Amino acid sequence: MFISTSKRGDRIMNKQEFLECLSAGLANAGIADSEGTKEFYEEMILDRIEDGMSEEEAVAAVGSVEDIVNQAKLDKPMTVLVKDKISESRNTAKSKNLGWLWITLAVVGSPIWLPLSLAFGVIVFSIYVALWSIIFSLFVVEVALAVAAGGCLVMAGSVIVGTVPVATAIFAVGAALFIAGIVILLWFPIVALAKVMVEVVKKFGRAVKKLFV
Amino acid sequence: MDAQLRRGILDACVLAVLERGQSYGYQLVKDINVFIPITESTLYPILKRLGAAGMLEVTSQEHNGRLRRYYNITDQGRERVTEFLNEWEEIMDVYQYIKEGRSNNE
Repeated sequence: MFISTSKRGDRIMNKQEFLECLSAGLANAGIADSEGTKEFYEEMILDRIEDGMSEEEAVAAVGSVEDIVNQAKLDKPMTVLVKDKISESRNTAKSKNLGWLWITLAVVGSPIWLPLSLAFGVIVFSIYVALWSIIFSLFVVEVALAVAAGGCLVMAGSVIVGTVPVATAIFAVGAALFIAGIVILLWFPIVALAKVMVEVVKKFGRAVKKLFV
Repeated sequence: MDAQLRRGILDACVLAVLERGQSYGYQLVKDINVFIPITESTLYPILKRLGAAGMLEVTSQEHNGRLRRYYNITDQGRERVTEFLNEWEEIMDVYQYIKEGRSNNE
């Protein structure tokens, strides 16, 4: 357990205490880049001191350890967050000497929580796949139109070997140009729409992650 | 302000400050705080995210006997700022339309 604010008891922590507390908090939450995070906050504190603040004021100004750890947790993969949440709940039960109750409830309640968790996972996965499918399908439309334009050109080209009449070949060239025009016109809206969709996917991922932080 | 909207604006603010020249963490907090409140715990994930997306580069330089991290914008970062400005031009058109509708009703 780590102290969740920049205070220790009634007083505000000094830099060393804050960094130790942050280190413990990051380790407790299993954050990979804990050194990088610590260095960043140490630099922030030192810059504030250089700017005229006292050490305690600088520590208080950089924010609480809890906030920093929670922000760092959001960078972790979804599976790790779920695992952490389960371990956290088990450790809390153990610390209250209720470890046996946690295990009993987990086993007895499994017919309820297991299908519910599976259903939740499947729903999240389906939404994720559906969102990526929209992005993928946008580009499939572009490729399909480009292939169609190429096909028309091939058809027009076969006028050389005499398999199609000249009028048909001219029509095919016109069709190829028309389709190529559509491909070019659609490219920028499709890229813009794909970017929006990628943002939607990211927002969705973060919203789901927040449920476990 | 909506959390997602705020995040997008803060990303653009960080990049806009860096477009004016390289900067470091505390200076970024001070510069951005003039327009929109930001704390270190909000800035750090933004810097990490923008770095991972290739929109900024980090270099360490000696300062008063210690190393300080300086952030520089990349071409990708500049592109993001341009995109942000274009997106907001469209949003401002809609804003004007909504505002005009309201003042016509009053």
